[in-house]
Amino acid sequence: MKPWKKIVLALETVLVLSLCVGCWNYHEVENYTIIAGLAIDKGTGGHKYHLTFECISLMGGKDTPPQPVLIEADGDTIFDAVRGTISMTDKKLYFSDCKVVILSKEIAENGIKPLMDFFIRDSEPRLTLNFLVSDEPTAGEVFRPKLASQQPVSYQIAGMLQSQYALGRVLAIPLYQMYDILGCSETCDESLTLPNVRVVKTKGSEMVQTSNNVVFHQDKMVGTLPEEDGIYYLMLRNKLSGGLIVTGPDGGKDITLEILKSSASIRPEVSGTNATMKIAIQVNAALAEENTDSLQYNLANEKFRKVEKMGAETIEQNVKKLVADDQKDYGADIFGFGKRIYEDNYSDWKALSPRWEKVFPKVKCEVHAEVRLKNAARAYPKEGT
Amino acid sequence: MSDHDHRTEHKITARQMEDMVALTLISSTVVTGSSDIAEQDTWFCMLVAFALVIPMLWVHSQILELYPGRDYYGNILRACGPVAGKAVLAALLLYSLLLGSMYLRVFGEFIHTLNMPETPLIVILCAIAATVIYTLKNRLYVVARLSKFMILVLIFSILISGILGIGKMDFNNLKPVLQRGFEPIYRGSLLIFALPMGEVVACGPLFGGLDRKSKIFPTLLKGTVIAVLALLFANVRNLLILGRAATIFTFVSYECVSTISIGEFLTRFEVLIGFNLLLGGFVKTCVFLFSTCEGVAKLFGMDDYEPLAAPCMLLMLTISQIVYANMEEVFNCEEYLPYASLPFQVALPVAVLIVGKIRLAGKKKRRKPKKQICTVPSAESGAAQGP
Repeated sequence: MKPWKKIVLALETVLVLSLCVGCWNYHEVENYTIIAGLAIDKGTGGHKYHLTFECISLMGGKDTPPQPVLIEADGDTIFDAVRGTISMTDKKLYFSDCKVVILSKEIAENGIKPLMDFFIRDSEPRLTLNFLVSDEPTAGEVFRPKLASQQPVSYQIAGMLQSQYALGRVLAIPLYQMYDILGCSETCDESLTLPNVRVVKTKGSEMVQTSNNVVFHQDKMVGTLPEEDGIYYLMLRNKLSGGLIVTGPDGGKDITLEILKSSASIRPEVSGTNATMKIAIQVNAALAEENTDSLQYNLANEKFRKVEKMGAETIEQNVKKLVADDQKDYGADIFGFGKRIYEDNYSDWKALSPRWEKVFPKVKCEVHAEVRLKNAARAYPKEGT
Repeated sequence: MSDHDHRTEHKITARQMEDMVALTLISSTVVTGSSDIAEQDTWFCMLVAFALVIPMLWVHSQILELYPGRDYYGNILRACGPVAGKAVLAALLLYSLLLGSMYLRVFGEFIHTLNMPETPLIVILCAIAATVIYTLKNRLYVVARLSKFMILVLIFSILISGILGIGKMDFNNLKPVLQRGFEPIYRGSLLIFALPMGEVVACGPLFGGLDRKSKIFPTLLKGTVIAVLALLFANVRNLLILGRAATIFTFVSYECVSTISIGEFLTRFEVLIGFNLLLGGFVKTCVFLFSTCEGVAKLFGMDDYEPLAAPCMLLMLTISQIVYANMEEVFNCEEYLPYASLPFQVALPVAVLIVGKIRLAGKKKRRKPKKQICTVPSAESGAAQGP
């Protein structure tokens, strides 16, 4: 067959296929209420849940950006509340573009596994959906501020989570990975963290902020990690691809290192009922700022090695502190130590798993960090200049 | 051109046959994602199941070569005699009919659950059934030619989804390797052996249309190897991306690929898995229907399967509606199906081959003395003439 005939036949095939798509389920976009995000609070009037939906209003002219509209409903299950909205709006809610689910603290403290079921089971919500915990008294309040950008709050939060690679504060865990961790908790006792979200009021305007990781013991919220520990938590979870380390001589904070690449390996060693985690962290960074009167460090300078050492020490101290605090305060294996033993030393894990909750707070950590400075950004100041 | 000419002139090449076998084995598992019993060790179960199915491929190829003509069901009838042969034939065609109906239902449920919940299931199934009938009415070589084209689309979509998903993969999900004991490996291997590897029994009747120059066993083997590689790739991709969550989804591959995106502008790759379903599932249904029709035709001494395509498909359609009360039963039956399938996939073909070989050897023996008596005077038998 001649090549052009093949091309024509291929085009014909595509044309026929495009005509054969199922039209029974065809819907006009105007017949749907598109959900950008939803907030889940404790229900009122005897109901289990109170849901606040941030919807996209497609009314208005060509040049008007989509306006967020809030719809609220109560229900005994998530789906019950979702369908309850039809009595308020004539349109069905459409979840395929839903980006975030905000949970109130109360809901998070009572366990989130039951309410995840709807999102994992229904065919409309995406598995890449992100869950967050509200710092405000209710989850619905997160959707209230009118942002300067006029875009829906949910889309702004989703954008902030996507940009975490440059900040490295909170770990955004999509729905399917949440299920992986919670599913794993049955065999590996791994615990979950979710980002928090709060409304920040500045003069004349309001905005939303996500800056902390909320700690869960299995599926129940037990506390929050300090904001400054976020970067080291991400580092341990091997999810860090950016962010800053502020370090300096004698515990000072004059030098800023920008992380270019970070990798952590955790090697478990088990003897009897004691477990030790040997953590090796390797960070490639750039010297981004030297906030001192006289510049001392440059690539050609021997002192440059000192900066690498200072950075490594800062990482080691903070990682040790993070693990110790979590062991003391929450006893939740948010680092996946148990999973690491399960994966690498399965026979040891079988012996440890029945009492992992008691073993985890006593797990010892040996942290070795190595920082390699790759450049000093675009400036190359000489010593003393 | 007459129907008979149609049949004789359009032989299926070895390559087309390989692709048809591969698509038959791949299609359902590429959507449902294969066994979850052995979890992270499923890849090993696939290799075990593949090793186990190789002897069965040889058995099927030997049945096809028992007598000239490569007529699978015809050879069964000749090997086992009219009564036992017809009983075996009836059992095999009922197996094809039932399995075809079950898969038709799964494909329909996939579209119904994920893409068109408001479209009644029967409408979806009727659309598939009508296309299958039309294609088979145009003879098997049409399905074979389609397979050659479709397998490329399927392999491309599996590969591209794997490559685009590399960023989301966690290779620790494969650990611990083979540490969970013998039982999950045994059960997982048995399930994959029965579904889909053992289903190669339904491909036996296809070989009547194979080009006479092509060898049967290498063709069957190559088709199975393509299927195993595609299934392995899809299974490992699902496990690496979804981790433990891979065990909770009804259609794992679909959910796995739905998580893949390139930024904000290239998302919703799961449509690729939809393609796999439409293409692979279509060929699979055609193969099972052909196997059923061919069996019925041989059972009742009919010349050709073609007039049976529509009635058998309607039967399949009806059974598909009653075979499961709900989707949960589809997955629950995975526990029992391996044991229910083994008699059809292993016991009957092996028994047929043994009986066929014994009867063939007996015939040769009976023929030999006659030959010796007749040919003693001739120069044909040197031994008889003696030194």
